[in-house]
Amino acid sequence: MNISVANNSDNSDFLSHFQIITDLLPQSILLVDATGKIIFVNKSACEFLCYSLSELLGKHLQNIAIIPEDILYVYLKNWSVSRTLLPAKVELKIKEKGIISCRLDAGVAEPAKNSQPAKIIISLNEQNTHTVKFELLNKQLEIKSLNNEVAQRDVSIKQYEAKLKLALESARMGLWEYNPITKVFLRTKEYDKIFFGHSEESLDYKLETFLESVHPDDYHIVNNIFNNYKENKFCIEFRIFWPDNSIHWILSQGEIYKDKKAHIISLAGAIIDITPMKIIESKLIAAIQARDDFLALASHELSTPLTTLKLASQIRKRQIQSGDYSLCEPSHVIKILNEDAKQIDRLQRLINSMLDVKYITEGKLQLKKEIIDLTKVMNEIIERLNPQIVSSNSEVIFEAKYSILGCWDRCKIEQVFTNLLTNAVKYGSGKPIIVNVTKTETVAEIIVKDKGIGISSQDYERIFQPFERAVATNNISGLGIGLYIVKQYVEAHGGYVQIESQLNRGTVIIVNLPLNNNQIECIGII
Amino acid sequence: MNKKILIVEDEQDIANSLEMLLESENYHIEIALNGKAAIEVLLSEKFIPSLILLDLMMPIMNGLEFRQEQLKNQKYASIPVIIMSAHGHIFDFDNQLTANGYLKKPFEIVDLLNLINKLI
Repeated sequence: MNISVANNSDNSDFLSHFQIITDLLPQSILLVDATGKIIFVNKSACEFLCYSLSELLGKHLQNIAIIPEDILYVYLKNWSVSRTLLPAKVELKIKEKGIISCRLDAGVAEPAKNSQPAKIIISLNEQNTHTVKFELLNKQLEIKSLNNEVAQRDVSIKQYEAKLKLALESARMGLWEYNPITKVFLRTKEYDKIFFGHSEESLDYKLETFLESVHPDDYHIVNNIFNNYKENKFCIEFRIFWPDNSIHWILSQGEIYKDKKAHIISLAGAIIDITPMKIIESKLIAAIQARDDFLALASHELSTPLTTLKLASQIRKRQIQSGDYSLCEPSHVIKILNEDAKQIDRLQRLINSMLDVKYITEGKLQLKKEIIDLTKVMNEIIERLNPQIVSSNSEVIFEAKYSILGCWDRCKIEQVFTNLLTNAVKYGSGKPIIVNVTKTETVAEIIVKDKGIGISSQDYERIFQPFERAVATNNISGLGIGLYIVKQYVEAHGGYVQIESQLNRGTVIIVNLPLNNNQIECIGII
Repeated sequence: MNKKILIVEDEQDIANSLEMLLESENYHIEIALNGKAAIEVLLSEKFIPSLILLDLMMPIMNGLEFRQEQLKNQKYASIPVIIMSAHGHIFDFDNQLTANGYLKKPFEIVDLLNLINKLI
């Protein structure tokens, strides 16, 4: 580009155009000759350098800019060729701004020609402008980077949300949040499922709605959380009513957020339905209680024959020590042995009963079947229990017309009959007990009927459970496992047990044992 | 005159052994097989015991119920009572029974005789 300066009439039109064009540029443009004298400036340069056009024209660049000598040497060399010069960092002395760092770009606008020195075109850019631009650019990049990061985080949050939702649904955990100031009660779908059995999104749910569903016995515990609770965390169990009036147990854990004056500003928590666990818990508690009761009873029952044996042995010892040897007579010794054998048998029966329960509960019950006559077995049991029957002031009326042969486990059937008769004697209030053994085409039927204290219909199922009895344990001895064993043994033979009873009227226990036609014979009337 | 002891025990064998022991110690003995039978003995006034040996777990009327009935009747309330029971926590009933002595079955007859001697 060839540029002519002022006073050169050939180039005046061009210069005027150049002035117009450069005045439109935001950069400061200057034209200097090889001595550094300013021969052209644009508007931006005047504004930037705080000089008027007339003040700048004719001034030397060295007077307004601090330019290192080596740079100045290169710039102000009387260049004979057009070229771009290296940019440089310079400091400008600006009268109203002081010293400002600038980037200086330069190029040879018109090489030296004949006596005309070279003309150098200079562009000045305030360093700060660049910095700001860079900073802006950096900020933009940072923002863009942040946006990317936010977008990535957004994706991560959505993924976590999905996982959390899945976890909450899998754990069947509902979330809720209550703001006592706005009265807004927020809750998740799972919360609604726990509280209503199904999702109730459209329901206008308030704290009052929640409290209304709480069981009256647990209302105080729950209401306390929303009012005067001193702690910042809570963990409570309570019952609620579903819309169908069924009762469900809830475990609620959460936090209470308070302001500096300890006023509640928000409560949030998680809930789960613990009804199944509560059912298991109550069963476990009942089982532990039953076990403890059984241990107490077993201890008591075992102590009774032991007490008899211990008393007898101590009395005998005292007699002999006192010189009374009458006990040593054979007839007396036999009597003593019979008395002791009775107590030992009692102990053995108790221990066998306990072992029976152990085998049943462990699923190790095994039957050793053989051909037996139910009528004969029942008769033997009645004879065996005669002392007990007599001491209860009762009598047994045995009604059996024929032998009933079948394939059953003798020991187990003996145990069934013993337990049924022992119960009838214990609870029969000294009134006659009727025992009937009969059969149909398919089953043998054993009926034991007493007229004693009876059993309430609500206890029918319970008394066939282990360690249960229908009456208070502090009156009648026994382990409370008699009917449980009866049921288990009869069912092991494919039979079943029925009960009919009325309080203070008596009890009828009916045992049905299936007959196997190949193994049954009706011998005839006894 | 020999002192009288009422044995209230549903286990006939235990009652018989105690009767044999205490008769050898020159006590007059009466046996009741449950609380109700014991009340009937007291009310009949044919046998006014100096001491009652009382079992807890009995049919018809248990030892606790008997003791409550006994304490209601001023005439018999002061008769000392020794509780004999196989119950694992016999002393848990102390507040309700307010008995004069406790023996946990099976017990030593020396302990029984010492307790009786202290009370009557």
